Amino acid sequence: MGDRSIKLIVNGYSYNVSVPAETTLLEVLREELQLTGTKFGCDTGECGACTVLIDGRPFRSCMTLAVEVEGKRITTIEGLANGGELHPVQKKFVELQAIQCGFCSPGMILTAVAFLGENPKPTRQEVRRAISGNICRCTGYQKIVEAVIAASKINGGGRK
Amino acid sequence: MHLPHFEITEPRTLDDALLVLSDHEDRIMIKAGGTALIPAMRLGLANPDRVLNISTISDMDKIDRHRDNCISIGANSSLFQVRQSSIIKENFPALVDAVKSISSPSLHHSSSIAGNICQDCRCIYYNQSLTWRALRSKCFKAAGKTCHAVSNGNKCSAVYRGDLAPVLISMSASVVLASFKGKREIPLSQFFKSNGIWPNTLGPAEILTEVVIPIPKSNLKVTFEKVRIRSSLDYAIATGAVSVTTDSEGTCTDCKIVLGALGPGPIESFEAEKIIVGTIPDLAICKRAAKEVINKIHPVANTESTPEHRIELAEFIVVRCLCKALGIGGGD
Repeated sequence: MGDRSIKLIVNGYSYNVSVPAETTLLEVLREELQLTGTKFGCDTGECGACTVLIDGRPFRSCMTLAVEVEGKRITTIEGLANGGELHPVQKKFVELQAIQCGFCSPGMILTAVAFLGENPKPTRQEVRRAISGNICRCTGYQKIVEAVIAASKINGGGRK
Repeated sequence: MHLPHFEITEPRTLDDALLVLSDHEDRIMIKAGGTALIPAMRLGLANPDRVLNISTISDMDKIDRHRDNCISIGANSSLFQVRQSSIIKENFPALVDAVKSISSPSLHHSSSIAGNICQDCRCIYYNQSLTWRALRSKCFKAAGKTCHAVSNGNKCSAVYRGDLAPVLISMSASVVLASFKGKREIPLSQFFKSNGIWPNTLGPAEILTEVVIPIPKSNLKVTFEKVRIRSSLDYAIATGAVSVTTDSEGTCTDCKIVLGALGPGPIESFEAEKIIVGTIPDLAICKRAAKEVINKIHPVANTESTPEHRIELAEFIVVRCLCKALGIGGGD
């Protein structure tokens, strides 16, 4: 069998792509749709840099086959802002300087958004555990935890 | 790195899945969440012609009361579903502890309970890239004739590092395996064959469809402990679960002590259990049982930790699990 034609709904837009079964969602996002905000990291599901939301829940796009997510609602970092306004988690990451090189930030922010949807008023320890699958080699995590806690205090911090 | 080419089948029903499986027995692999299979394919450790994606089968992700005093967990239930389920939290808190200890919470959405149970054994000489492995001769697990972890070893010593199996065995769980011939339910303890090359007895035309756990009586206590290097992403270097039943006098009437990540399958120490049963256990008896446990384990140098360290951890884990289950101080 050859490629399969699938319809993906990414950030509210529909895209028709034709891919072989082994194509990952990460490859489609970056190489077909040019949505390079989703980062290619370890490629084995360990670092969390490729995290996207699928129907509001965090998934590693490097371990998700594109054909599996046909018809599901995919949110990447490019689709998180509402019009011109950043999502509360994005705002707090910027305000509190929770970003250094920025490579982990898309995955970290999307993981935090999904987590705040599940647990709107978390403790610091809960935040640490929630983001423990997203590796950051710059910040030491302190500012990231602060930013997630600060976002949790804004109405809509867990909006997806 | 791109995944190797394969075809994919996405069945809607269990019957459709079993039909495809029986037609392609040789070169087909089952995928549930994909958190084990996809990285294995990327490393060249799995190279199927066809992938059977069972996550598309409807109704295989239910958690509910089943027959007499049992809870059934559908094979496709995600670890997130298991840890969030009120029926699981109420009846099996140690299972929730075990699930929470797996990887990181964000991966719990994609990992399934059946995938966790059916995971392959791992070895630091095997779970490596193609290039890394090409520099050494093929080991038993790669269909070769040597073991790099044990000099002059004559069998594969890869380690089963699943966290759920030990705690589920301690709770007397069973698994339902479906094939065209019908369904069979076997105790989870009999599902494992203690073989590093492939750890379980799932047949080539079979699918694990559900996990069945008896609802515990009020005097049964189950505890779970796990040690790993980094608590966000590493596999266990030693893990253990204990279940104890005591009567109104405090005498232990039943006990299961099961260890994980210390051999090619979960290890139950019947001798250690005998030390506990029939006594009113105190710290000294728990320590004696833990000493007995280490006679049953023979870890080798094929994880991130040394065999000596893992033996010490096993002893520590058993004491701690027993003390927690029995409400005895001093287990730390």
